[in-house]
This record gives sequence, C-alpha cells and structure tokens, in this order.
Amino acid sequence: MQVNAGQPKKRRTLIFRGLIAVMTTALFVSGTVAQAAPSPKAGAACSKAEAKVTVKSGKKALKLTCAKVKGHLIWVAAIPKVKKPVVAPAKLGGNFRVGVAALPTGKGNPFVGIGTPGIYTMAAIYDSLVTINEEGDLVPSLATKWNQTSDTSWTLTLRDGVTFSNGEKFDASSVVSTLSYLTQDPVGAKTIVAAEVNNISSVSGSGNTVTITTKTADSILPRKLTVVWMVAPKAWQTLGAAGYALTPIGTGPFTVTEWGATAISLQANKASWRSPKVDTMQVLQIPDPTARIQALQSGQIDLAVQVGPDETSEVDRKKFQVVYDSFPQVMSLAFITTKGDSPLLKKEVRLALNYAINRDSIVNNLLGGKGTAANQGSTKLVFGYNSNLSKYPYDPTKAKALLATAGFPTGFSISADVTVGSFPADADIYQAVARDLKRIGVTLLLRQIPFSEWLGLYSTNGWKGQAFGLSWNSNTLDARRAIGLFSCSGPGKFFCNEDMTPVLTEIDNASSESARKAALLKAAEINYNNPPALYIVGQVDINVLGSAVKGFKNVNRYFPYEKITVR
Amino acid sequence: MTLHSEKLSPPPATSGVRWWGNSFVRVILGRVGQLAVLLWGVSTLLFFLLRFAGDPALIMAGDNATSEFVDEIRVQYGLDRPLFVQYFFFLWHAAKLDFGYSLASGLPSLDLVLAQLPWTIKLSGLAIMLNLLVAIPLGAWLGQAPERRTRNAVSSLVFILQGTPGFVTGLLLIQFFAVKLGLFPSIGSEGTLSWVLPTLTLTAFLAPRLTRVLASNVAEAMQTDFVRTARAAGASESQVLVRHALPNALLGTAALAGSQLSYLLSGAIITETIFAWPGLGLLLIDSVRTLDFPVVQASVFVVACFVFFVNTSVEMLFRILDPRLKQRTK
Repeated sequence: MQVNAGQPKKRRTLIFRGLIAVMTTALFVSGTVAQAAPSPKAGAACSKAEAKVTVKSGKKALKLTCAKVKGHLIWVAAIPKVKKPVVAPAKLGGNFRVGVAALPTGKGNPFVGIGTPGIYTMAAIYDSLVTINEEGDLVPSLATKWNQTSDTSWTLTLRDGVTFSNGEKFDASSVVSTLSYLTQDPVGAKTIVAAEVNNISSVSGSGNTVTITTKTADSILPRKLTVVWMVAPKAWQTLGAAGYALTPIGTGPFTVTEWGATAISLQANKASWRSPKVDTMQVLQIPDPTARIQALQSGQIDLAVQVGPDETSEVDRKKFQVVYDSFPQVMSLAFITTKGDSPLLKKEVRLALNYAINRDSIVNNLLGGKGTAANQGSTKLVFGYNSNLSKYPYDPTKAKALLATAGFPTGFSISADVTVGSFPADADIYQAVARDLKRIGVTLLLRQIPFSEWLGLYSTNGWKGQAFGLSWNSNTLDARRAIGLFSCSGPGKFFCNEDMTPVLTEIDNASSESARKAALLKAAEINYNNPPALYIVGQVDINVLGSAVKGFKNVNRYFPYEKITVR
Repeated sequence: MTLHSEKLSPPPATSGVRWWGNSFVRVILGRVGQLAVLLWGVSTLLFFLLRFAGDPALIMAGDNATSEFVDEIRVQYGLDRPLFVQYFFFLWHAAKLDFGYSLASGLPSLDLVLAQLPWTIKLSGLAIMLNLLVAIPLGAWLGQAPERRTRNAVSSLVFILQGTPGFVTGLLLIQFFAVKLGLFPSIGSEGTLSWVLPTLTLTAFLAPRLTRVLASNVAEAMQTDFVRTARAAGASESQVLVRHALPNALLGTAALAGSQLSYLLSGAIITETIFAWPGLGLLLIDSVRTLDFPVVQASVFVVACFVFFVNTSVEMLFRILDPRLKQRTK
C-alpha cells in the first residue's frame, strides 16, 4: 500500500508547476518579442551605409538609417512597431471607415500598383493630373486643360493654388519630377505604373504649364496619365521610395497619420483642393467578404468594399445601402488557337459558343440584374466601345447548326484554366457557362488555378487546355489594351487573327482621338464577327454602405472621398 | 508486477549533477545542432518551392507588360541569375539574418515579420491557456466515468465541435456576439474586448481535441492498478481522479498541447483573416498572394525557430516531469 503514497502528489505538483512554467514562458516570450520590435521610423536615400539621421517631414520627426536596398544606398525606415489598429467607436461623427480586402501591397508608394487594391487608399491621399468620370470621359483633376500640340507633343495647364500635405507647392516641377522618375530612373522605370507611360520621351515646364513629348504619336496620353499619382518632389527626394511608402504625401483630401499592419489611419487635409467633409478616415483590411459585411452590420465600418451577391443577400436594405455599379471589364473565356489542333481553330465553333450561352440569365440570376450581356471586349464606358454591334442572341439551335457546319455535330470537350474570387459570382458564372455549353454538346472542364500560376501560364502561353479565363480590362479605359492582348502581337500570343494586325497599327498610329476611335470601332467589329473569346458579361462592383453615409460615388473604383459625409 | 513507484522514483542524489551536467546539456546542444539543420532544411525547401510557385517579376510587372519589361524587372531583383546562384546568395544572407527587402513594399522583410509576430504570439498564448483551462477539467470529468449518459452526450458535443472548421465557428461567433448582440468587435485588435472572439474561435478549434485525448487517457488511467489500489486505500472518487488518474493522463496530453501551440505560432491563418488580426498569418497570406519571397522566407524562418523552441521546451519539461524518459537516455 505504500506504492503510490508519496509519488503522485509530488509528480502532480511537478506537472502543474511545469504547466505554469510553459504559460509563463509563452507570456514572457511574447512580451520580449513585443518589446524587441523596432520603434516607428521612416526612411530616405543616402550615401554612407549605417549612417543615421533624423529629418523633419511636416510636424513629424523621422529617424532614418542608411542601408543598401536593391543595389542602392538609401535612407531606410525601420518598420514601425505594429500598433493597435485604430478602429474608432461606431458613432463618432466625422469619421469614415472603409473595409477593403487588402491594403496596397507597396504601402504608400503610388507607383508599384494600379487599380485594386491600392486605389481605395491612394484616392484618399493622391491626385492624378487627369481623371475619368462615370461616363468614361476625361475630366480635369490637377491639370485643368490639355491640348495635343503636335502628333508627339502635349501641353497641360495645371491647377492653381494646389499644395501637397507637407506644404510643398504643386506646380510644373512636381509633374516633371514625377514623370522623370517613371521614365528615367533605373528603379522607377521598372514599376508597373511606368509601363503605362513608357512612350514619354521628355517632360519640361515651368509655372503652371507642362509640355510632354512622346516617342511616337500618342493620342490617348491624357488617359494614360490617369494612373499616375503625383508625388511631392522634395519629399520624394528626401525620403526615397521606401520612406515615402511609410509617409506618403499627396495633394488628396487626407494625409496618413499611421500605417499599421491591417489599418491605415488618415486625417483630413483641410488645405487640399479637395478638402473633405469628414475629419478622419480609416482604411481597414478585412480579407474575408463575409467578415466585411459583418463588420458593417456590427457598426465597425461604414463601407464594405467589393462584396459578392451572396454576402449581400441577408443584408437589411432598410439599414444599409447596397450599391451596384458597372465595372468596365468584360469577363470572358479566351480561346487558344496557336497551340496545335483544337475545335476552336474554326471560326464557326467560336461563334457557336457565343450563341450558346444565356447571358441575360446570368445577369439577372447571378448579378442581380446589374451586369451587362457582353458582345465585345469593351463596355459602354470604354473609349472604343462599338454601340452598333448587336447582342449575340441566346440561340442553342443556331449554335448547334454552326457546330455541325464546322464538323462537330455531336459536340466536343474542351478544358479551361480559370481563377475565381476576383469578381462577384465569378465561380457561379463559369458554372453557368459550362451548363449552357453542355446543352449544345460541348463539355467544358473548368480547372481553378491560383493567380500566380495563371500569370506564369499566360506569359509563356503554357496552357494545357483550349481556353482560359481572361477579363478584358483597361486601366485607362481605352479599348486598345484588351484588343492587343487578343492579337498576334499580344504578350500571351494565344490567339492570332491576321485581319486585326493592320487595324492595330492604324490604332497605334492614329494622330487624333477621332481617328483612333474609328480604328477601335473597326477592331471591335472584327472581333465580333470572328470572336477570339467567349464574351460573357460586363462585370459589376457591389459595395455596401451604412445608412449614415451620404455622398458616396464609385467611379470605376475611384471614390471621391471629399464628397462623403457621415451623419 | 512492475510497481508504479519504481517508474517514478527520483534519481539518486549523487546522479543529479551528472544528469544535468551531461545528459541535459548534451540534449540542449544536440537540439541546437538540430535547429541549425532544421532551419537549413526548411529554408532550402521553401526557397525552391517558392521559385516553382510562380514568377514574382510577372506579378510586379502586371499582365500588360512586355516580356522585355518583365526581363528588366528580373535583372533588377536578381531573379535572372541561375537558381543555384540565387540559392547560395540567399543562404549566405540568411545566415546573417538578412532576408532582403520586401518585393512589394521595399521594406526590410525581417522587420515586417517581427512587427507582426507579437500579435500572433499573444493571441496564441491566450488561446492555449484558455484551451488548457477548458480541456483539463472537461477531459477529466468526461474520462472519469465515460459510460454515464450526460457525459456521453457532452462527449458527442465535443466530437461535433472537433469537426467544426475554425472559420465556421469564427463567423458564427461574430454573427451572434458582434452583429446580433453587439457585445464584442468583429475585427481588429483595439481594446480588451477585441481579443475575445478570436481567442474563443481558436479555443473552440483546439479544446475539443485536447479534451477527447485527455478523457481517453483519464479513462484508461482509471482502470490501472494504482487507481484500484488507491480506491482500496479509501480514497474518494475525486481524490482518485485528481491525485492519481489525472496527473498520469496529463503527461500524454502535454505533448498534444505543445504541438497545438506550435500550430498556433505557425499562424492561425484563417482566424487572423476572418478577424483582420494584424498577425503573422495575415502577413503570410498577403505575401504568398503577391509572391513576396523575402517576406515569406523570413516569416517561415522565424516561425520555425519558435516552433522548435516550443517543442524543445515541452520535451525538456517532459524529462523533468517523467523520470522514465531520463532513465532511457542514460
């Protein structure tokens, strides 16, 4: 009976002490690591490695360390210790909170990304020279006028009295500095934004007038300038790209007060020419769309950006505003005709597939009636949209007849690589397409792949199937870009229609907007009669607002934040 | 019969110094060596897996870029060099804890990781503590008399909870406690209340498993000879459970708790995504999405170190708690 008399108690004590030791260690380690994280700093360009300096930017003192970044010595900002993301209480007046799927990948650097996700933040901080309104027309922003003075030369008149949030004056030198960085700097010229303006050969100007010269005739240069956010030249020089990423300075309605891991806090830039009506703003990263809606419902945000029809189905329309907007991008399945034998080599087959799908059903049942049935690669907002082209009717009988003519009376099987999750209901839309094609005997096998794999296959034309998901998009709302992707000279080289080649040359050499438009209309007609893709639908954006928000407008994902009020 | 007391008898006093001086230190030194090998292995595997996952130059250039433009970006970031040259360059710098700069933001990748790591560690620490607080009493209660009807019902509930995905639990908790009742925030990490739902979500995922293992261990321990002996000696059922069965059962479950902590440290990715928690999981998701190699590599390196630290600590703890292990390594 003395077997267990003393040992269990001792061992139990040891076990419990051990558990307490593990918990204490975990807490100690977490505390230690928390303290070990660097303090908030920003950075800039420099000449001596490891040198340290403190600079002032506005009211902020920035501590900088000189380090080698991608082969260049620059002042580098240490990463600020992640502070608690500031989620202000729900009922604070004058505070506008936006829930987005992702924050800008390059933080506040405006040149490493175009469009989503960055645009939702950048539109609050920066301005471009020209912008596009909801009708697809160019409208003034920091430039009030623009004239094409010759085939390769443009003159812009800049807005008076504009200053950056750090007090620097916006003038011609700002434009020269920004565009020179994108066209001449070894780092800047490799950015994604630089690719849009690489036709610029020189920029000069003084006061409020800027002259831009292009390498070749460029009748849509102002459209290209809509993706270039203007930066403050002196601050850029001081901070460098890395420092600017942490302390972005623009002419927009807000300035950044804190850039956290999942939240950006901004305050009103009252001196902005677009002075906002609310005092503060937060952009919060909430990757899951359902969680974005729940955050809106629980009063933690005022705007849930880019959610799907499924997430909005349970939203109380009396308390929240569900806003559908057309987005100028056409969802399609691109046909691959440059890789060996395929039924899609025949024009009749490509036409048949376009007659086989019920676009109206997709629009009404999957997009809440807000999308558009597509018959070309552009939507009405895009420069070069051909309104004379009629819809492809939903006509399975005609589709079957065309298949029979092409020698496929019983149909065939094809496969397509697609990415999903980029647009509302895209997975469901692909399924609906597959269902419709099955009715004419065509089996469509869908393979879902991640975007990184998609890009690799796209750039090398390494597709294994006969089609793939590709949206017809245009950052500058000009149809040329998408038409080019589906041409013999496109980067993917998956489709080639020689009839298009001279038309593309005509578009590129057009010296006037009207000449360019005529050529674009011709290109749309060629692609209508000999489709390089199965056009599906013009996509939509769905944003949900709290009832207290007024003045919201979605202009191709650019939100004019200065007009927003929160009751 | 092998007596239980013999298994647990402490080492002779004279051997204590030798044990600490030889075995324990030897084990620690061995573990450090293992850590070096582990870090090399993980880094190497990750390096090549990431390279095969896609080309970051394509993502940086966008789908409108010409091949010449993409090539220029590859040159700029050293991605044009032969893979093994890139690998040795990476190893050389990683040995100096230099993982380079984020391809997306241009900021030091290790700093980005260290800035978000504390949030994951704190959340993991809380979740594991709550996990233990729930699972130990519940598992002991269930294991004490598993055949009883009430405990059977609770056992079934625990079984169902174990099969419920974390994201479902998280979304349900948000819907009820944040949307309907408005008691807790649904996102972010501002204020004490914001810790409640993410911690509960993680605990709801971890606790059922630990509870079931502990219940099974307790049930087994309740059938052993020393428990029968304790009963014969007049110990009450609660004394039998708390003093005899539970301590033995906890030995087995401590290993599981350690591995659960490792799992949490490696990024409670889904929970962090749903709650927009500024931790390592969210950073990893973003970095993988944009093929930001330096950040992914720095993240995994740091996580591997912590997981190793936790596992080694648990193992050391076992050696102290269970003398049988010590005797085996002699």
